[in-house]
Amino acid sequence: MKNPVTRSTLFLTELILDLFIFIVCTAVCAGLFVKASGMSRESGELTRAVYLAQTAAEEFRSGKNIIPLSEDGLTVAAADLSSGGGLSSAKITVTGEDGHEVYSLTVERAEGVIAS
Amino acid sequence: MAVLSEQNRGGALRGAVVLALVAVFFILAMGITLLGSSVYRSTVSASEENYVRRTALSYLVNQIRRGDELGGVAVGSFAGADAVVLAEDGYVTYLYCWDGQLRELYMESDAGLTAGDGLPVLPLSSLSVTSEPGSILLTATDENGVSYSVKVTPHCGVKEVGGL
Repeated sequence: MKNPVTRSTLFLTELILDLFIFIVCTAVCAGLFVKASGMSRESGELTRAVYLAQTAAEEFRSGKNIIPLSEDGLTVAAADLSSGGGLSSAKITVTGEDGHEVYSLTVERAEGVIAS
Repeated sequence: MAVLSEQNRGGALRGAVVLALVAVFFILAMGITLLGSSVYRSTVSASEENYVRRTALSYLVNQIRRGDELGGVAVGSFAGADAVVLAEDGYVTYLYCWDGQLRELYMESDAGLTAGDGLPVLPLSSLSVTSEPGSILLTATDENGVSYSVKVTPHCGVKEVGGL
């Protein structure tokens, strides 16, 4: 003989379990979306940082001094590394708003290069 | 009678719980779909913008480095737009922005081609080419009005030429 109370209880239990699994999947998907959004933002920031560093490196190679500057939340700073053997080198670092390093490169130029 | 009424109340309660669970399912499904589509749209849009800026500037910088020989790199204008002019052995390459596209036109120096004859490279709103002492400052503005700049210092210097 069928027991309607038991059947409906089982149905409800299954529905609640399904909902639980669905909520877990939703949380995982939402996490992935948030991560994707963050990676996209970081990618744009890296592109900007690369061009800022490249511009500073070109200035250095042409004999000018690298002037620290801030642009769109990114800060460019340079440190002279060494000089000798006919070469001067400097490290250019681009940092984000919270001070983390976004991009850095080392650039060299022949000593005696003077800005034209 | 009382037992039957109690059974009815229990059935109604179960129905309400099932309805509530289905409603929660629906709301969550809609939420995750809307969130997903919104994040996907913004990610794709940001990725495309990033690609255009990065590719445009990298392309221009590499073309300038390729033509970096004495008298080979110049800043000028073409059809009223700023242009990078690369000259080699009687041929000239113009890199300029015209009709919403970054274009490249390679021709003989006196071929007399027009701005529309250039090959479109990628969509770009405008391109500013400024000559600084020993350097070229390139500023590309994409379709959303966002500008990116980069400076290039050719080993062989930069000339300034008039417009065509």
